Amino acid sequence: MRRRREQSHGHSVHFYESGRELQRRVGSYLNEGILSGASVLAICTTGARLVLAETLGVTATGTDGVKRYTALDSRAFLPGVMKGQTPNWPAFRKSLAPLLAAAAAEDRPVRIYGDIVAQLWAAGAPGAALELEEFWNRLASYHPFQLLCGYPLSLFRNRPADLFLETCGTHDEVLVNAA
Amino acid sequence: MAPLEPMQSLAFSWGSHVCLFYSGPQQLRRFMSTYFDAGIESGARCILISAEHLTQKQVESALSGFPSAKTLLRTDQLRVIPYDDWYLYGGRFDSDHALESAHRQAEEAHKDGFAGLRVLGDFGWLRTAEERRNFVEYERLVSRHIEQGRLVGLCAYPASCWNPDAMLNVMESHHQLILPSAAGWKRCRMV
Repeated sequence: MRRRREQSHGHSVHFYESGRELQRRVGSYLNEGILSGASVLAICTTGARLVLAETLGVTATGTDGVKRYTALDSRAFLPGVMKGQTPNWPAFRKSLAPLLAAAAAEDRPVRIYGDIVAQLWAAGAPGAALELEEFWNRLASYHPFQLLCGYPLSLFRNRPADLFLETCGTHDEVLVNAA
Repeated sequence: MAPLEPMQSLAFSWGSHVCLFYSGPQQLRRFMSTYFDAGIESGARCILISAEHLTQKQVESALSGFPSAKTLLRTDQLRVIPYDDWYLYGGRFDSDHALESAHRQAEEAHKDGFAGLRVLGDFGWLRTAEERRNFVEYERLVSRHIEQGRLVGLCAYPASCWNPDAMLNVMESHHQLILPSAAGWKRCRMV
């Protein structure tokens, strides 16, 4: 009998100064996932997806030769999970459930990188971003996965410090920049 | 996401260096009570490094959320030490002096038969951006120092004095971040 792999949930955040710093972090995060046999999903902008495709190799196959990497355009994804200005839980869950269920059926862990919350922040909707972060946490109670969120630190400048702390508080881990 | 931890308990393993950004004295008092309660429970000596010199009445007020404080102060399981005694030398912040203070207190706690030391430093005394920047450098040193001993260090910063860049620097020099909320405490690891 095949033994089920344990998949723990982890929700990390990386606040970054430069796009290069983020690319390095996300590239190694997703690459480690692929090498460990996880299904890997990136939901991010076109520019970021192009860089990731280069970093991971266009097909991003695992050691068994199976394609493990799926990339979605965050600008196209986001409207599908919103109802007006507010994130919509059923739509959010529905949009990700097939991918998570397929990975679960193959008994694979799932590793996700997303910048949709940062997009909401950048669009001046921090409340919606915080709500979406909680949706990710809620979704993990149905399908465990590892998630990395990336925010440009500049989004939080000249904003109330509470929002920055609240954003940290929706995560289990804050990734520290190597000195 | 890790669930909220109840107000009544706040466990840390020895060697933890934790930071907290508080929104006002009331929130700090509430946190302090939980933090020290857990420390007393674990057999540690607890120390509050206050952000100013406190009169007896102010000490009582600062520890008002902590019912057994009076008894614990009398039995020396709880100490209140003003920040300048701990951190300043010749009127200036001195990282060697601060590390020596921690070392001396940890030795005393051991000699007095306590399981370890649980310290809460209130950093409301850091007035300028330069003082805050210098202090973050010291925090990195402290992390390495704390890791080696039977010590838990919690650094409490008034949130209103820090911008997100500086907050992130502070977080990066600690092992964990505690976020207070109305219903309990949230804990984030720094990795």
